[in-house]
Amino acid sequence: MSPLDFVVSLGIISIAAGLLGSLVGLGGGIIIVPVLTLIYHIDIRLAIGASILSVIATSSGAAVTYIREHLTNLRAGMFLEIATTTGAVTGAYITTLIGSKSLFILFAIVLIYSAFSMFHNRHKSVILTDSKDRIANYLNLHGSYYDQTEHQEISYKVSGTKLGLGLMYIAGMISALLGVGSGALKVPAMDIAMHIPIKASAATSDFMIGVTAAASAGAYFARGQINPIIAAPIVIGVLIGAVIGSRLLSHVTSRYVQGLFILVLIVVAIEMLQRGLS
Amino acid sequence: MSSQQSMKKAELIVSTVLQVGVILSTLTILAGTVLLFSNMGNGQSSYRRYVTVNYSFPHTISTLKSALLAGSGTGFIEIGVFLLILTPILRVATSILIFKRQKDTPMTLVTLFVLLVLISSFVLK
Repeated sequence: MSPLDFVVSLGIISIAAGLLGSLVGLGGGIIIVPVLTLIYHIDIRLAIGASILSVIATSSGAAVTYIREHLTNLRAGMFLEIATTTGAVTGAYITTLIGSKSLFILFAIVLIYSAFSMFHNRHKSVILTDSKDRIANYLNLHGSYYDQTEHQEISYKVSGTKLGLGLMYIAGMISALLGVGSGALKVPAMDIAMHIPIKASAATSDFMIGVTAAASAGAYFARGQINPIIAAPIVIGVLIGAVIGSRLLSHVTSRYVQGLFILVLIVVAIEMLQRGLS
Repeated sequence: MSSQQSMKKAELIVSTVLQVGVILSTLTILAGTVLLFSNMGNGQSSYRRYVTVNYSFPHTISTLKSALLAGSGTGFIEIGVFLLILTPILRVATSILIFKRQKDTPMTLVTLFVLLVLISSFVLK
């Protein structure tokens, strides 16, 4: 394969990764890592460096649209970044203590659990009209957005901020450990624990994953783990995909987003289990 | 200005910061890719040579500087990548200023804390 064929083919795959990633609030690294290692036979260290970039590209590309459509809950996102960034910093230290195989298995268990609980709660996505959560009321983390499929303004109150913070801390840790955006944990933390509607959760997760990824991307960059010939098609492809995907989100139904998300969670969990057990 | 209006203005500023970062990064990476392929010529080489762990490319301030002066494609791509990494950090920094201007002290402190943790993550590693 010539270098030009490599760049063009990887660019096309990256568009698909950005599309899926922005729709469900994941970084797309879940697709990029196996594609690079299994199809193009690229070293895992370079694949992880490229994956962290795809997370930032999805986040920044999709967030522009989501913020303008008022889907993103900016205040809740920034508040939860307290936990994701501290989690990412501690995660970098913990890597030296735990073996990577047990990490993959742990990650897989968490994913299967969130897929299960999301499937279980699928039809009763409870939107709160009142919240007794003191932190959420004090910082005014509640939000609203206009749902174009239901043709109405959806106002929601946020609760469970302490549980949300705890889950986000774990998400930040796993993000630093595995080089992923860990949107797979962020979306259920907001949707299930904090009662943020699924579309707003996906949009807010997309907004947050860029910051979590930036916390480790600097180190990957300085270590020379970001190869330019791999990075160029991935960044441009993922950005194109994320811009298209983010324009689609407000036009698809919440149930479709949830179904797609559960499917992706299961695929990722199987992939992680394989890595942990091999 | 009502709190809803000021939040909408904040949303517009934050999304503009992200948009500018993304566009600048994309243009730099595109320019780098065009440069890279025009310098490469039509040789029948395989892509594998360029994607091994041993393939060297500029990623420190001094090597990036000389790569840019030499008009090297990989140098431009790496600068574009660096701009992409900076974008979310710049977004957090902008939010601090927005909340401060709105005299929203709790949220100013929240975002300031996030920025400090982000900076420390670069220093600690």
